Amino acid sequence: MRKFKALYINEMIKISRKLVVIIVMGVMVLGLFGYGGIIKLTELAQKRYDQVDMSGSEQDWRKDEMRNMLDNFKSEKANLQDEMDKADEEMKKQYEFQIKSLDVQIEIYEYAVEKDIYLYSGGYTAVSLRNMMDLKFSLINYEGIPVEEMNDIQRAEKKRTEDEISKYEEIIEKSDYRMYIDFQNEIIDSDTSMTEEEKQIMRESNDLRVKIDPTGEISASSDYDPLSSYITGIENIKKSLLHNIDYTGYGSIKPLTPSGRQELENSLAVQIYKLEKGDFERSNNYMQVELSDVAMTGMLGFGTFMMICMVLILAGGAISQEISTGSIKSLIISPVKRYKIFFAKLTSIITAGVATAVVLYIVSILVHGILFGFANGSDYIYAINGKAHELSFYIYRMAYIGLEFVDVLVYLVFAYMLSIITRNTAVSVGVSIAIYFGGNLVNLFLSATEIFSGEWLKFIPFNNMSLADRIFKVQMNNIGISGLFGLNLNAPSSMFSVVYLVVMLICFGYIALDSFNRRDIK
Amino acid sequence: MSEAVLEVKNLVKYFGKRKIIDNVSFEVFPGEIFGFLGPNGAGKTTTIKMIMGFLAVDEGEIMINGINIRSDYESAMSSIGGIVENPEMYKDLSGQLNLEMYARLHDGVTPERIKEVVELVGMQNRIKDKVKKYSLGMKQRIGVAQSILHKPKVLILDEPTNGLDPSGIKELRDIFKKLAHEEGVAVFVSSHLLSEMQLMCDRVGIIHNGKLLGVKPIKKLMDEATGGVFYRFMTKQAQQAAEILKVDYPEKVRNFTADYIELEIEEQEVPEVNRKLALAGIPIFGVNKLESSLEDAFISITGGGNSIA
Repeated sequence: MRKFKALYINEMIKISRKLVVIIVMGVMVLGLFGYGGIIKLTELAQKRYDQVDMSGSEQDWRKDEMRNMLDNFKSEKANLQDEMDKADEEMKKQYEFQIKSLDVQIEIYEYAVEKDIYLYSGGYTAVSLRNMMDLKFSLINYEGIPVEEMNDIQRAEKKRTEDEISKYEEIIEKSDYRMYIDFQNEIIDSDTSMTEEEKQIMRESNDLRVKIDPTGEISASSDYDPLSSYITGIENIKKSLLHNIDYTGYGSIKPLTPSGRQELENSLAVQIYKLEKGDFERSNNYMQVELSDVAMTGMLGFGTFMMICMVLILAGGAISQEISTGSIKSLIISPVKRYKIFFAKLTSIITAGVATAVVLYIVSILVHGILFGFANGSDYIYAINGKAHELSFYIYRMAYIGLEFVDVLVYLVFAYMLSIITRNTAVSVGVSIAIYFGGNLVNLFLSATEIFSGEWLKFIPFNNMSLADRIFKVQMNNIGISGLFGLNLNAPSSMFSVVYLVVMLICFGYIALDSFNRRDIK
Repeated sequence: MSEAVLEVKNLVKYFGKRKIIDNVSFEVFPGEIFGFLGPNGAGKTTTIKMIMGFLAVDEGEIMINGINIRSDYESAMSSIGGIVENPEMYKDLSGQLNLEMYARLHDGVTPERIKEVVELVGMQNRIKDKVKKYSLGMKQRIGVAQSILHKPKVLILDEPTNGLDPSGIKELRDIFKKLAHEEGVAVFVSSHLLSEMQLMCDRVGIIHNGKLLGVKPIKKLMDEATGGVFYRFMTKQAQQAAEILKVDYPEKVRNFTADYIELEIEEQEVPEVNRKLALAGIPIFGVNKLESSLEDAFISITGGGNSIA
């Protein structure tokens, strides 16, 4: 052990004097600042766009649009009246109907202008007004029919419609979101086309709405209602689970597999947890993802790339370079067994990789903190057995880098093995880098051509890599099915991959160690 | 003599199917300089690399300080130091750092010891420079410094005088002699510079085509090989002279060329030979008394000097 420590110190001295280490570290740090900076600029540009969007002139523009529509309806009505005067009896009825429809629209638009409601927004007042309009359209059918001539059903229907219209009017007059929700629940209850379970889902959604947004502010604040679309996403998951149907496939509808069901249940828990935490608000933008997250993930991806490059160069030249320069002699004539040299070198390269990972973590956290605020990192929400848990931003990103390092380790040991077997630095570095870049292409090709199918796909090494992205799934906030998004169906379970990678690492390591121990150094 | 510190028994090495080292055995004792001679490709460096752990031993045993390298590699190797072919260091690091790194792998090498050794090889002024700035001779000195840093019982040097100027060679020779004769280190030197070995070695082993032809004290080797002294008669008719002299001195003709004939005769026989040749009408332009060198001994043992550098 003492000899091993001495060897390890010597190896660390050698690595610390290597130019490639300094260059890669420098490029990585600069790149991290650059990447973060670019995303920050994007965010600033978007903010400016959003500000313009929300300015007073936008409000004016909406009012103008409503007025213009009103004017259009009015002039259309005048035209139709002119036409009607000239037309025969048969046509008159049709015109009359159209004019009545226009009257309804004119009435609603006038009301909207008066109440300052933009009819096409997602706010509950706008929705109420639109519903009101639809109901009034259906009332037209009852006009001209004397009450005595209606049957009971018609009478009840007319009565119900009128009640609903007055209810909506009341909601708009009082700006009462709670009343709106209660009324929606009433409508759900009286709907005979839904099963009790489906009604329950709808009611739960309304409960969520009130819980998150008691006054309807969020819902009315802009023309796009983030809360509503988020809740619709949750509703869809619940429906999927209820009917045991996988709606998430592109086009094809198939029954949920047990694991798909589990996945969906976890996804649901995550979505609800986020909603209650108020996370959906933060991502109210057109890209539907938090830009600080994009920056962080991008920085870590770039850092991992640099880490792999450095480790490949170090490991790919570890033994072969010493043999080609002859410096291996001073190691071999030392009183140490070869396996100690083997492990000391391997450990020192891993140490260099870990040091890079630590630098990556610290610098990316710093860049993220400086540009987006230290308190603004997104925590990672995940669920196990349908119960949501939260991982704080700092631990989450540390764990993420840790998992990325598994990939780094695999490439490291592979390059080290090549360096020992081929004794040629160019070949070992070149082949490892080629596999790193080309591996996923080969993987795509193999999957696409179906040379390997089904079970065999999980034995392709590349399907077992990228543990970080498979365990920490991409989180798309506003998409209800986020838990399933980006799920590689070919990918084996994480547990399988871990076992697979460990076995692979041991094989690489054993081949390399055996070759290094036994082969002559001429 | 005391116990051997380096013992090689029936060493065999194959490269592929070719037997590169064939049943080589020898012993090196403390306090002696053992010369390992042979033409290029004879197996000198291969033998050294097997002793130093570069190459696996196919058959046979190597004992260093009484320890078999198979059973306890690290203890065995801790009493050995050396240079294999050219000394190679980490070129981007200073000579000092190279030595410190090597010292770390041995027990009990103090910073003072490093300083002492650096001064011994006369490198104290350049020791902080990077190795890539060193000349071949300086690298050789640092190599020697490295090999004796941990006071090994056996010092193995593969062509140590390569690239050194004559004064450097002399200095190095003195260092080796001092180490062997005063400090009792067993020094094992391989070379094809035979005159060099003649000046330095106590015993010499000659290797040729992978076989050890013999191990002898250097004086005995030279005596056995030639009988020492011979006389060269300068004449243009050497062939005729050889025929005439065969009658009276059947075993004494050593060699003849177009310009001279060499005879292994006693000093008192020279006038008689001269007279006989004069009577036969062969003019003699001169007679030289010559002593055979290790070179000659070497050629006569290995049976031809074609491959000698």
